[in-house]
Amino acid sequence: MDKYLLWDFLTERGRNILVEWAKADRLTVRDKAMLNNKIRRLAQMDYDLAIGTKLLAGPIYKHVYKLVIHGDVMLRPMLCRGPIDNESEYTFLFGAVETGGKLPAGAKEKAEEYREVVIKDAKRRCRHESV
Amino acid sequence: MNQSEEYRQKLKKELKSDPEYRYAYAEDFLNTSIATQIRVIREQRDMTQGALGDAIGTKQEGISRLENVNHSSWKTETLNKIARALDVRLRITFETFGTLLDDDENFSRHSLQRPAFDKDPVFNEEKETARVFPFHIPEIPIRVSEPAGGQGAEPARPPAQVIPIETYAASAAQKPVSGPNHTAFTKGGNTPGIDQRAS
Repeated sequence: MDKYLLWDFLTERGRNILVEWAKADRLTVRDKAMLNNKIRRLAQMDYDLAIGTKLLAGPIYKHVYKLVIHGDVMLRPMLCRGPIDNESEYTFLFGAVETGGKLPAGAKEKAEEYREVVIKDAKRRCRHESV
Repeated sequence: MNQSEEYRQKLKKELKSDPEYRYAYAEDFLNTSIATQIRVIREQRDMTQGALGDAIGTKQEGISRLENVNHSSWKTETLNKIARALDVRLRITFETFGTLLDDDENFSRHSLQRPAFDKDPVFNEEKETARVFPFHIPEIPIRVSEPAGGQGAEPARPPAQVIPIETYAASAAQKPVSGPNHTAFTKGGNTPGIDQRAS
């Protein structure tokens, strides 16, 4: 039984933001495997362990965290706890690749904006899909 | 299909679809598991990173690196030192990909914890027995199945026998544990003395 239920933000067109990101950034097969493994572990670990093992870093901006994956590129999907139930779920809000230790401009702000969208409309997310 | 079964089937399909994906997933799972288990067992021992570092002759920062799920350059020598410091043994084995499905499903803080040697139940049999059976049991009643009441019920059987444990144990000791007279206790099997209808 997983500790956390995972969700993905849905764009205005109803598309899964993480799946779209994986396509747009042309993640390699290796990247996808590492991303899926790390996300799966996140669902099974308690929060303190995820922070302690540096799987999860943050909050990097307001309520936004990033998942840390050293793949062929530095994958940094951004997420928040909850936001409907902070103790039992995470929601992936935005996909990003870090370059030179920096996230793309505006990425974390966008993630926070999407978090607020989900708080107002819980239908703007779907159950997490592996990429 | 429940959530974990659904995930298992999906992972199975993904692992089957591409060898590159399969190896990458397995390698990343291994790295994540080792790093996480070092942290989990260290915390189980109420040990700081600094104390573990001292025990294996490295700095706290070195332990922090080993407990990072993105660490991937493991040395058997270092892992053996950690095993010794945490009072457990190191096991390295090659496995089929099929076992990855179970390992993946069962991953959790609890499943990664290991007791130290002095709490290992295998080496504490006497203590374990005392914990499970803290009192003396003088006799074990052997329950013989009893029919349900009402119409169509089977004829009444003799009442349940009560055999002193010493007599039962002596009788059991004389019987072979294997061979033609041995009856295995299996689910759904025809085990003497057990009312199959009740299960």
